[in-house]
Amino acid sequence: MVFLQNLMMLPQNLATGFSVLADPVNILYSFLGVLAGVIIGALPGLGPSMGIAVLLPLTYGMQPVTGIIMLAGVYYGAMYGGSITAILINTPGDSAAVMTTLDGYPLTQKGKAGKALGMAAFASIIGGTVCVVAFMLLAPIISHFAVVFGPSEYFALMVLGLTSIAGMTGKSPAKGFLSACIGLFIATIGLDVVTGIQRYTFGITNLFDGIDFIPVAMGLFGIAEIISTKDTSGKLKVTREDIRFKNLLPSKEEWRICVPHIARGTVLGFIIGMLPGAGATIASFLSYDLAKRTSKRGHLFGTGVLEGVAAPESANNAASMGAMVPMLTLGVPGSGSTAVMMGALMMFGLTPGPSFFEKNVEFAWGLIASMYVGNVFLLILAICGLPLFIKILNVKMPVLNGVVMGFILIGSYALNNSLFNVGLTIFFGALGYILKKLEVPSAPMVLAIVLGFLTETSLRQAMILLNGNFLGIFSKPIASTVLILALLLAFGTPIKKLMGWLIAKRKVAH
Amino acid sequence: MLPIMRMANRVLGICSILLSIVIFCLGKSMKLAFFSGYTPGPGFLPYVVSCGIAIFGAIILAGSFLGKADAGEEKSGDVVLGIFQREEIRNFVSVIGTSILVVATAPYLGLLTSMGIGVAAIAKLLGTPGWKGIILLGIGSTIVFYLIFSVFLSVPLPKGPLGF
Repeated sequence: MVFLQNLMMLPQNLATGFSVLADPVNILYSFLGVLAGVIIGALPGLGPSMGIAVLLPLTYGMQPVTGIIMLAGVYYGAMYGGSITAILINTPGDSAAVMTTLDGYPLTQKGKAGKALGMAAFASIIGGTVCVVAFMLLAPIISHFAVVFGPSEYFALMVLGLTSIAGMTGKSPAKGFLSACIGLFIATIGLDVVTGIQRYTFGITNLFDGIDFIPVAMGLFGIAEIISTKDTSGKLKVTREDIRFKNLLPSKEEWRICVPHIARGTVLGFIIGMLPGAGATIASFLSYDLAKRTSKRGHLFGTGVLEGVAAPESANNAASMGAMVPMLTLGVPGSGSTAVMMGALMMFGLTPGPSFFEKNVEFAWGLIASMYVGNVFLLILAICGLPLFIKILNVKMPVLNGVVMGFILIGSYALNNSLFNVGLTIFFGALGYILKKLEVPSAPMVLAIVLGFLTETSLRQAMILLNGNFLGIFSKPIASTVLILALLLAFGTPIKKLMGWLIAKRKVAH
Repeated sequence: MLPIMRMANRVLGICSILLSIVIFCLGKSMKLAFFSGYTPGPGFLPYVVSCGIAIFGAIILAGSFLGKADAGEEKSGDVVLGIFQREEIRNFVSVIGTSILVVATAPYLGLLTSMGIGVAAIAKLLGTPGWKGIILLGIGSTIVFYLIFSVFLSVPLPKGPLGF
C-alpha cells in the first residue's frame, strides 16, 4: 500500500526534484562536485571521505541543497576516480578500488588500459544510476515506517550505527570500538545541553560549543593521509592511443560477458551499502568473488579479464548509493564518507532521519534528481576527461599535498573564523596519523562525533519517558530488535571465534 | 625481541587505560553527576565511555600477550622506526611543524601570506626539487586561496601588514 502510494507520488516528487535542479547554479555545482571527486578519487591515498571533508568549506554560505548536491557529486565521483590509478599504475585511489587492480592493471600491461577504463566507467555509471532508482523507491518507504520512531528507537538506531561501523571497520573490532569510544568522549566536550555544566572545557571558551566534527574529519582523513601518501607521479606509462574514444568503448561481445556481472554487482553493492558499517570496500570484495565463482572464465581472473573490473566497479558505486538510504531515512550513516555528509547536513541545519523526506521534500528530491544528472556528468567526464586526469596524476605529489594542506587549514579557519579550529585540525591530523599506523580506524571516531550528541539526547529523552528504567527500552519491539541486532554485530565475530576455538578444543580432546 | 605490532598494541592498550582513568578522574573533579533524578546526568556518557575505553584498551593489551605473531611480522626492537617509516616521520615533522608555524605567524603576517609560505615550505620539504616552481606555487596558491575564500566565500581572514 505504502509502496503504491509512493509510486503514485513519484512523478510529482521527481518533477519537484528536477525543478530544484533546473537552477543553473545547482547543475554547475553538481558538475564541479563530480569533477573534483574524480580527481580526488584518482589521487592515490585520497578517498571520498577526505574529498568531502576537504571540500566542505567551499559549501559555507551556499544554499543547503546546492552544497549537498556538490558533496554528493564528490562522493560518487571519487568512487569512480579510485579506479583510474588502480587500472593504470596498480595503486588503488581508495580501498574500494583494491579489487579493481587485480584485473585492471594486468589489462593495462596487455595494452588494454582504454578497455579497462571504459568498462570501469560504464559499470560504475550503470551501478550508480540503477541504484538511484532503487534509492528513490525505497527511501520514502523506510521513512514512512520510521516516522513512528520515538527516543528509544532512535537511541537503538544510534547504537546500531556505532557498533556496526566500529565492529566492521579495520582489522581489529576492539580497535574500532576504542576509536568509537574516543569519538563519543570528544562529543561530550562542551556545555551540557540539559544542565549547562561545563564538561572537559577547562574554561576554554572555544570549547563551550563543543568540538565540531569538521576539523576532526579534516585532520583525521586529510592531514593523516597527506603524511602517509607516497609519490606515484612519473609511474604512468599510457599513450594517447590507449585512451582514444574508440578504445574506451567495450565491444558487443565484451558487453555480453560483463552485463550479468554488472547486474549482480549492482544488486549486491546496493544491499551491502545499505547495511551500516559494511560499505563499498566489502561490496567490491564480495562482488569480485561472486563474479569469479559465477564466470565461465573464473580461472582467468587476476590475469586481466574485463568482468574482473566490471563486477567490483559496479558494486562500489552501487554501495555508495545504498549507503545514502540509512543516512537520509534513519540518520544512521553507514561509512566514513556518509558520516561526513551527515555532518554537513547538520551544519546546514537539516537533521537526517525518518521525517527528513516529509519535511524537506524539495531538498531530498533535488538531491535524488542531482544523482541522475551527476551520473551523466560522470559518464561524460570518464570518457572526455581522461587525458586531463592523467595529466593531473603526473603532477608531483608534494606540490598537490602542499595545496591540499592549504585548503584544509584555511577551510578549518573559515568554519567559524577561528584559529583555534585550525589548531584542532592540526592536532587531529597528528593523532590520525599515529592512529593509522597503530591500525586504529578513523571512521568510527568521526561517526561517533557526528552521532554523539543525538545518542546522548535520545537516551536522556528515553529515560525520562521510561522513568529511569533503562531495561524498559527492551520492552519496545523495534528498539529491542535493533539493539539485539547491534549486539550481534558487535559481538558476533568474537562469539564465532570463541565457538570455533571451543569446537576445535573439543575435537583435540576426543 | 617482540614483534613490532604486538609491542605497539601494548603501548596502545596501556595508553587507552591511562586515558580512561584521566577521563574518569577529571569527570569526578568536575563533579559531573552520573544520574540526576530519573535521567542520565552530564557525567553519564563520559563515565560510560571511559569504561569502554578501559575495556577495549584492556582487550587490545591482553591480545598483545595472548595472540600469536603473524608469520610475516617484522621482528625488531625499535617500535618507533618499525611502525613509522623514516620517510613518513620526516613528512610528519614537515607537515605538522609547518602547519603549527602557519598558525603561529598568521596573526602577524596574515593568514594568506603565511599559508602561501606554508604551502611552498610543505611542497619543498616533501621533496619538490628547485626553487623557481616553489616560489611560483607559493604565490599562485595565495592568489587562489584569496579568490576562493576572501572574494568568493567572503571569509574575513586575518590580515597582515601587507593588507591581505
